[in-house]
Amino acid sequence: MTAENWKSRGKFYSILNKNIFVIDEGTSKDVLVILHGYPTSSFDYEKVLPELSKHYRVIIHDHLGFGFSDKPDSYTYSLIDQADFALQLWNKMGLKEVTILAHDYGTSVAKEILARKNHNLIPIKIKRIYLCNSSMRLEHLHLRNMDQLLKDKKVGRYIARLTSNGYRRIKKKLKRNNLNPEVHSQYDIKEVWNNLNSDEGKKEIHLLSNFINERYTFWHRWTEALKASEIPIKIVWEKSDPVAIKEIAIVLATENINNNLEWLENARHYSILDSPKYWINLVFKINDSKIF
Amino acid sequence: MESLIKDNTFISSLDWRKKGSLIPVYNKNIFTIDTGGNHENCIVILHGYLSSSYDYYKVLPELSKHYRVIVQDLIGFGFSDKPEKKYFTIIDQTDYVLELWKILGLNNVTIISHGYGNLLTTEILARQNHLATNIEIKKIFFCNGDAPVNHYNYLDIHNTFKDVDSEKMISMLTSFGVYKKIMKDYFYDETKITDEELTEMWVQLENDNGRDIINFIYHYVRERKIFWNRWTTALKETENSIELIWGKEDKITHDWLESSKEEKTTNYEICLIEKSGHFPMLEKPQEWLQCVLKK
Repeated sequence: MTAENWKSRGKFYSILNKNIFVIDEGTSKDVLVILHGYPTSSFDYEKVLPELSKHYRVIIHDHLGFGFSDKPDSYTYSLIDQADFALQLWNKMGLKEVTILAHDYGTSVAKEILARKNHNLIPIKIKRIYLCNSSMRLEHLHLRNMDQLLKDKKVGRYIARLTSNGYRRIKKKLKRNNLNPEVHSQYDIKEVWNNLNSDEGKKEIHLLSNFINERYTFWHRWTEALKASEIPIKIVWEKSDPVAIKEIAIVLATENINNNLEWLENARHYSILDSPKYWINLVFKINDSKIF
Repeated sequence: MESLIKDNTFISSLDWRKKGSLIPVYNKNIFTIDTGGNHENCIVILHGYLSSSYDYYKVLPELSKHYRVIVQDLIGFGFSDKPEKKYFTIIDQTDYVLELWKILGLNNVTIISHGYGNLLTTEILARQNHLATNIEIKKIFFCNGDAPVNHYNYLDIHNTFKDVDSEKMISMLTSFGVYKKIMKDYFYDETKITDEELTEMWVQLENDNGRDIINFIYHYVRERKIFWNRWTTALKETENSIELIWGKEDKITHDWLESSKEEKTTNYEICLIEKSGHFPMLEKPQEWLQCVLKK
């Protein structure tokens, strides 16, 4: 499956004067909407789509600025904006009730949508939410490093020059954790880091740091949304992910854990890219012998 | 010219409190004064940071002769509930404001906002722009406050713009003495704010441990960075009529006029008030009313 093939499988919707690329497959009345992670696109779901679309009508859109959706003229769309676009798209498609699946960056968008649902600001019914942290450990390591570098005033200024050093640090870290730095051919970290040397890459740094800032800034709004949720939520996490651990520890430490929250450990690092079948079985508990 | 302001309008916090009521919105109580209810046209007021509805005590009697006026204490300020040691974002604040207006049955409003309140108004414009709210707006008056950050500032992530001002505002909370001194500094003529008034304002700030809770200067500066694109776009694309009511001698916020010219966001009407600092509704209430009422 090439990117062009993928493009021809979907179609474009004009949402708030921007073109949004949408994959819409499956005939079930049960609708699954997917919010993809950073910095990828709907293409992440290529391998799980055939199975998922047997059980759901699956709708995946590329967030604004990602994949085949319009690239912003100015390059900072906030997670709040992404939630606006997702909701407008679903509204335009006439969806009344959905199940949401989200990864990483997408989980923040999902939590913002949940906060609005809790505040009765949106009419759409949400049946269930799946939040998958750490589909790619790589992303988090990448984020952590970037974050540290950006937060350091001296280093931050020379970040472009330090990219290769950053790459070495990541590689070392992956090695220490017994992880393969080439998690997937499409996510070659060396390429990611080299990218940062370009002008585009420098812009990306700012986009990146913006979304890290948002996660800090909206920490309370979004954990409150989880705690107050009346919608069942399944959170899939990985023990080996240092970022996820920290987040979970904080949430668990808070009182009144909501009965609607279910934590599911992805102990074997199943991912939508490497082990799609196992991942589907883990997350959706679809007991179909054929998938093995 | 006939004076719109009676002499001796001073009112204590306690009496101010009696003018309004607590309205439950989601899980919090919002102190709201809803007056001039016989008028169909409605003005809603969003106050600034470290302030409260009390800023409008001088202008409210006259304003409510012409409009139904709703002035509320934002969450964390005045007599409204405090967030429980959590950062209450501008997005949250806006959710509560819109829900309160929904509860009061408002769907077509004129908004007057000031300082921090301007950011809430801008967020409401962004929601309109993204079809995320049904509220209709007749007109907007922005009083002295910061414009959404322009992206040149944003691009340099180490440029902690306005830090001096935020530090100044945080330091205001250390004691009544410091608060008084800095507040007076925000006025062009410091005799226009009396110790008596400042005491009442301080009482409201202190209410319900307010001083401990209100500690999110830095964060709301951060939100201005995060949303610069969302907010400047909303201001550019809005079809609402916007007017600036500006105390000309404001020492803290002086960049809106300049930056809005720079970014060509605006063909706003501007009502400049001479010899007024950051709080024209307190320092020059007569002129402020003339700007709003066009008298």
